[in-house]
Amino acid sequence: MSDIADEQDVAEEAVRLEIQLSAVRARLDHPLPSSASDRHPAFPPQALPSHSLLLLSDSALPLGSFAFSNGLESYLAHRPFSTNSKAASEAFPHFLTLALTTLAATTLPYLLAAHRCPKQLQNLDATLDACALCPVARRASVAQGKALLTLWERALRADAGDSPAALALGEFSVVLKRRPSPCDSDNELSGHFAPIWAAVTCATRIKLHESAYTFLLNHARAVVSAAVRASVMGPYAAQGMLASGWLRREIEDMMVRNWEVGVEDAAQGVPMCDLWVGRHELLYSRIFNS
Amino acid sequence: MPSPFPATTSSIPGKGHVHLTLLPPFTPTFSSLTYTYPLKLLPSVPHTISPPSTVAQPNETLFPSPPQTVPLVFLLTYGGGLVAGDHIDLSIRLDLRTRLTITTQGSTKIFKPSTFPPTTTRQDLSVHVSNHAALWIAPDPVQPFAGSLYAQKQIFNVESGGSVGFVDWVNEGRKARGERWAFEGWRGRNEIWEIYDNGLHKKRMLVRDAVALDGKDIQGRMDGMGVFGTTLLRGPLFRLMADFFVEEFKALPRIGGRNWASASDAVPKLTLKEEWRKKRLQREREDGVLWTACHVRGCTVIKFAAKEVEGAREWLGSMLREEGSVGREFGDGGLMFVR
Repeated sequence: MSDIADEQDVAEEAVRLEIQLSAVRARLDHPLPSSASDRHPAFPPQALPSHSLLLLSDSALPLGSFAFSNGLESYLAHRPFSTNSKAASEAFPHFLTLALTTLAATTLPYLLAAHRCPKQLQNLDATLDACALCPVARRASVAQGKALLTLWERALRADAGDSPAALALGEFSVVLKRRPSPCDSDNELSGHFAPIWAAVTCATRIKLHESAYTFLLNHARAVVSAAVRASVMGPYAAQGMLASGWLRREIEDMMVRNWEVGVEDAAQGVPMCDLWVGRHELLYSRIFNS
Repeated sequence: MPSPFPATTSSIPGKGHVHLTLLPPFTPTFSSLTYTYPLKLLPSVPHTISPPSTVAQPNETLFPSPPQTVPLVFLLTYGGGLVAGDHIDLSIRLDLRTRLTITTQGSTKIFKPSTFPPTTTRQDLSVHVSNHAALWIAPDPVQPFAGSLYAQKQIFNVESGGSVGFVDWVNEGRKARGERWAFEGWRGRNEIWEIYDNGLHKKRMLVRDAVALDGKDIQGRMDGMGVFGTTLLRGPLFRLMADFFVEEFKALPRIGGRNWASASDAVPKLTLKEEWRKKRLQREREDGVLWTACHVRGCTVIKFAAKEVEGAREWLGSMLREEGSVGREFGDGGLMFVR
């Protein structure tokens, strides 16, 4: 594991120097070589949001995220208010915090590590697999991770260039599709969502903090949209919650708390979530897969 | 936000080492059993285990004849608890075909630090289980008092034919004094590693179970529960028990399902096991026990929570006694913690 840490240090150093370099270049009035549109007043430098970021934050991204309530359905079924939608909508922000805390505490360190050092993608996926002990959550993570890998290969890779992250994704895909040999147990890959997300965002030049923020916001959106379909709240209340300063602060708080946490120290912060998500399999009727 | 777990502590190491070996023909003997303050290791009378007649033995290489006795070691701390800065560092090594039970004589209390900045109380356990050996660790829960700061790490290195099972649970603190998850921080990490090429000591991590309860609103996250725990099982000696937990989990009643049977329906004659299950489910409802069990990566993970420690103890005891492996393979000492 220490070589992961070392590589991370070097990668962080490189990012820091790149930022310094571009700042110095800007002062020298040497704009970075880029497309011709750079000088047009419609495109002031750094003013447009990242094109890839807009794509990846789309709720219609074909990852199947809508199929997962991330524990909400089971959480509601475990309460007395399962038939009382007013009480359910009052309890919802609490659950959203718990769901985000769980995701951030267990997977954000892997996302950050994979983005900082995409070469470690396979190691990180293997380690995360050993830490994902809840079968329902494992299925959700692997389904979305593999879907994103497919999306990368079929749609995003063409214009992404040959960054280390793009190469890491290519190698990952080859190893993942290889028939596992019984004696080669070190090379078992699963395709978990967080590290694949990190590599894809890194390869499409989305910055680390944007990648992490979008990952958490997408998760919040999946849980909120599940709440709409589970009749916990209406669509306007749902958008209101997504737009709220409260949610922003929650996400920022979780990024701050996990920013320096190494993958070794990633841990479940809400043990009850493991129980709710794990007991999703016991629900009599289900609309979601988690 | 700074981590509440300081990087350095002025820790007083309580080192312990247990090495169990098998003398011919089948007599387990401690070739080493050492400890320093504040740790105390107290070996009790070894428990005789009955010859393995109850279990069908698929083949002799998987289940060679067991040792005649299973030693029991009490893991104790002075005053029944750990003060801030205490550091317990215990290593256990089980040689070929030995078995060992580790238990406690009451919950391990974690006291609040009196210094500022607060120092973390730590417990580290490092285990090596050889082929055909088996370890069962069944302590009472850890009881972290308000304001305490605690971190534990348990690493199990298991050779491919070795077995390990343990219960790791934590409660809300001193409930009688109104403490409900009022500690500063509680961290637990359990890892099971498989040693798959003994000659080269190559190993890979099978599972890592990590919980970190710190930061804001720990009580809110626990959703009214008073105890939370994990049981991890690995290896041939725990195979039957692992399958039992998973089967019972699958047999739990569906949540949100309706009971269509009417009172006039003939009540089917229940088997002894169904009768036991019915009673257990009734207790689970009363005690607010929630649990899951699943096989994952060659291990079995059982998670449970209950309103109070006694409810969890009752549930765990009922499951372990009904299944029977612990009593049969480790003797009564392995069930003392659920008495």
